[in-house]
Amino acid sequence: MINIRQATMDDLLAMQHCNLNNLPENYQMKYYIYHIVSWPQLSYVAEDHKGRIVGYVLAKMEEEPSQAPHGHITSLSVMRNFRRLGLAEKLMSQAQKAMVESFGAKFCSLHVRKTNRAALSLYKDTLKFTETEVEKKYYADGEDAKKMVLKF
Amino acid sequence: MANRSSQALPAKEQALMRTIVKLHDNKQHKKGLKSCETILKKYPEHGEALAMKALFFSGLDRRDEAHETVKKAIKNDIGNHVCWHAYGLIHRAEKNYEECIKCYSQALKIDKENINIYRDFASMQMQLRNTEAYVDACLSIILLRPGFKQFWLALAAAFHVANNFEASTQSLTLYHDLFQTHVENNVEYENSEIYMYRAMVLEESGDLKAALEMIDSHEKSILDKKSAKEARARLLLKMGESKQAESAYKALVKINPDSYSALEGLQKAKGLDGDLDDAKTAKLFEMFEDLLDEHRRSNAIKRMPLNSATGERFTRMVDSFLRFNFQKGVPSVFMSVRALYTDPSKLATIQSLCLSYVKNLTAHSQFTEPVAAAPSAEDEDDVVVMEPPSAVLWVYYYLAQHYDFLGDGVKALSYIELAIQHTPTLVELFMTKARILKHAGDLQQAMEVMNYGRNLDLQDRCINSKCVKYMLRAGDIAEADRTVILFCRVDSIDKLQDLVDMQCSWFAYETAMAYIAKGEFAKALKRFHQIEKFFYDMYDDQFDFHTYSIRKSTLRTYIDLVRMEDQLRAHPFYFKAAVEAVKLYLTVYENRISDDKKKDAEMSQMSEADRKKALRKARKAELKSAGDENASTANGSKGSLSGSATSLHAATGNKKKADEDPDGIKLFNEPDLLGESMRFLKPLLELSPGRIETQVLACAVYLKKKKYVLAVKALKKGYKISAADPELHRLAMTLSHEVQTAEMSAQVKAIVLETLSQVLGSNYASVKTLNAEFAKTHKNSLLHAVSVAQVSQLVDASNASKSVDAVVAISAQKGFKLEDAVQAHKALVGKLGASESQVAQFVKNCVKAYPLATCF
Repeated sequence: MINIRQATMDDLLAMQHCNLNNLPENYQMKYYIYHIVSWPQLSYVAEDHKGRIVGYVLAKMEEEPSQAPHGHITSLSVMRNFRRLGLAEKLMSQAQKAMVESFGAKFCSLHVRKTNRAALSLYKDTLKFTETEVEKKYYADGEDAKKMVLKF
Repeated sequence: MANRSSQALPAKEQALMRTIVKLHDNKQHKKGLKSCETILKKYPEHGEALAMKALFFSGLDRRDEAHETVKKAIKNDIGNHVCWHAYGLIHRAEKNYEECIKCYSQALKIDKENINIYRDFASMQMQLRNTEAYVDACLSIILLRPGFKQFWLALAAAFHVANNFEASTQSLTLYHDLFQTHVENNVEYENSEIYMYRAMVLEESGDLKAALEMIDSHEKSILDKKSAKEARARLLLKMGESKQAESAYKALVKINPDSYSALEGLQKAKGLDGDLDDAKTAKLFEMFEDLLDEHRRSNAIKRMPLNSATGERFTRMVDSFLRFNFQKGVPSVFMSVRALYTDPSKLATIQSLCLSYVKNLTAHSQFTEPVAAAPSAEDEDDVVVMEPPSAVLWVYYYLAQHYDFLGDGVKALSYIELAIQHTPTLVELFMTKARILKHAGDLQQAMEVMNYGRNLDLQDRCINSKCVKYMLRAGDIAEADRTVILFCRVDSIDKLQDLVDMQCSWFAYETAMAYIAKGEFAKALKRFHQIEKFFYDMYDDQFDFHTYSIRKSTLRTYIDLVRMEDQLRAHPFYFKAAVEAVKLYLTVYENRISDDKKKDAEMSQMSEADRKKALRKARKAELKSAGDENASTANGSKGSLSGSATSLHAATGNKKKADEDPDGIKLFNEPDLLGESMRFLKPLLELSPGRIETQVLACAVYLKKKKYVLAVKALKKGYKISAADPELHRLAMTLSHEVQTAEMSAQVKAIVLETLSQVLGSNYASVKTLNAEFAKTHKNSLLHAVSVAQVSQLVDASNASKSVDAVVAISAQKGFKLEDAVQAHKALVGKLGASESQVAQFVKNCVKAYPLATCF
């Protein structure tokens, strides 16, 4: 029984916990606060019936004046036990809607580890992102990132 | 920064000074330091140059030099606001807010119109939640610079935080009239946020109509369409406009069919919440059916009606819900229906359905009995659909969790084994098997199974984290450390430090508990202080947002941030760590007292010469540890914890100072352990006073500190929360006993006696009687019996052994929790001093109830 809703300040500790549990890229609390204060509409959580956060998407806008306004997915994660419910897709679709509605985003970008096949297939096949370029040694451990983009 | 000082510099140096200020703004501390030296070579006493130099020292985390230099700056040029501002900023960097405010005030006395200092001053007042002072500071700034629109917003937020809704609304109206009537470019988002914020303030003030009007009249300017729609629906519902609310919520369900608030709102708007008669129940299901037709992919719409359905309808609905999920292989089915188990008939229905699925799926690959009618070849509709082979696997998986939940570890294991035989490579199955073993009390094997699962998917941090937790529970700290760093940053030298930098509180907590189990209390204390530091930093995190949020105009989330920070240490992550930390401080304190007593006893046995020698040795040791203490306070700032290199400075690329107390030895040797425990107890008392743990621990700490009035107050609050709490009973009896024997002033005694009589009744002094009554009331509970035995030991030594017998007798009954048995076991072999035969019998009983348990 999963509720999908916009993330609030009260979710941040649980989001950080979920991130530390599942993913190798981690952030301090201040970075989460920065996201919610700057772009409150863009981050979403999935919570179970007890109010535990089982998945989240943390998203932002890229605001360099040289480029068209576009959203960026900082981090997306769903707890292992809650897979196969389409949660990642639902979280992403809400975030993307908000990017367009509140910020006039033209497209959305994200980075994914070159070797992370599960994530690559999610973004490519389910969410219809396309690969644009490889960023060499993007991650701290030296792994390359694939940059992927979805045009709105 | 304007120069008002008496120490004017020549033009060349003045120019350099301006460069220095820029270097500071850009955080180029090393370059800045050099430039300051250039000026100071010629003018070594120059106050402003010294002040800037001190700021660069502070930026490089060279704290001692920063303080030394800024003090010299002030001495040389006491009437210069720059020097005082710098001193304030240095305090600010060390999170020493109170001292910071004093310096800013001094600077503002000198330069009453300095906007920069005012801004820093205002933020600091907010950080300290001096809301009135914050309002005053905003007003002063606006008087100086009425055209700076940000400060009008800051003023509105300041009034809002001070709960002055009217003034907040007024400020926002003024802001609107002054600034929002002009059409500017690139402020659409800003304006949109401000309209939504105005609606928020109005809604909180109770003026729902005005809030709704705000949204409706600015509909076109509001970009956050979803929030606006949510606010409209909520307001309409609150105002009793059910029809409009209904259509508003319908629209929200369309936007997000997995939103609880939308679905619940729709239910309420239709009058279909609370107790429903048959007609309304029918309508409710009709509503969900209609919604499901439109939103086939919504999990929530499928799951929600199961809460209200009963009897035949429930069976039908849950049957299709379960089948759908088993076909798809959704691992979380059990977690999603478990909440229904509070209704025993629903539990029984689900169990019998699942058992029948197993029977039918294994026999003929279908969920149901085969249809008796002979299949006719022409009718294609009658073609029997075979379920995928994985369906039965997910039913086994479900039943394993189901029986584990019911406490039947043996059955649970048999189902998970069936699942593993079916598919031996599925990580989830091993995670569940490990959990079943953990619940059954075999922590070692649980760890091994989890580790097996981990090896099936070495790329997944989730299973890795779970495995680390199980290693810690099983007491293998070294292996846990080796495993947890597999996902830490490769570029950090100390990989475990990466987890500390990333504020990973679960690992700190679990490691602390593992150290406690091993009796390594110093290391455990260290971990709890790490967690305290995470929260300390998270509170500080808000500082930059006092100005940033206003600039971004995202005032709604800013208010949320302030409120979240005010409640930060009420969060479950902090709460459970703080509870264990205070307990640990009490244990360490008690151990120290009993060690001291032992030493005294040994001393009295010694000859005069030996005693002198021992005393000399003890004094030497004391001096040595006191020396260490001094070293630590000189290097650490006041009010901050040991080893606290701030993350802000870490970002500038400086190497962190080595941790001065990596193993918590200093924390452990702290002379005032009870005083230190207050660091954790205070936030519990302030933010979680309604939790029984808080009052129990407060009472225990105050009792040890011999603060009887505070102890009895906590006791009274505790009784209001849960009079049946076993630990609270022990404390009440201890206090009642102590008040009759310990030394205290007549005044204190009077208060304690009066409160005790309120809490315990008129015979509060007859501890033996009360204890016997308590034993009778809770005669089937292990932990209550332990508490009774502890009290007997204190006041009725002749009966102590008998009361231990009572504990053993309860363990012969079934139905106690494993964790309670573990706790009781610890008490029996510990201070209760149960005889060997008593312990043996207790263990025998426990093993009978938990045959897989290895923890006794």
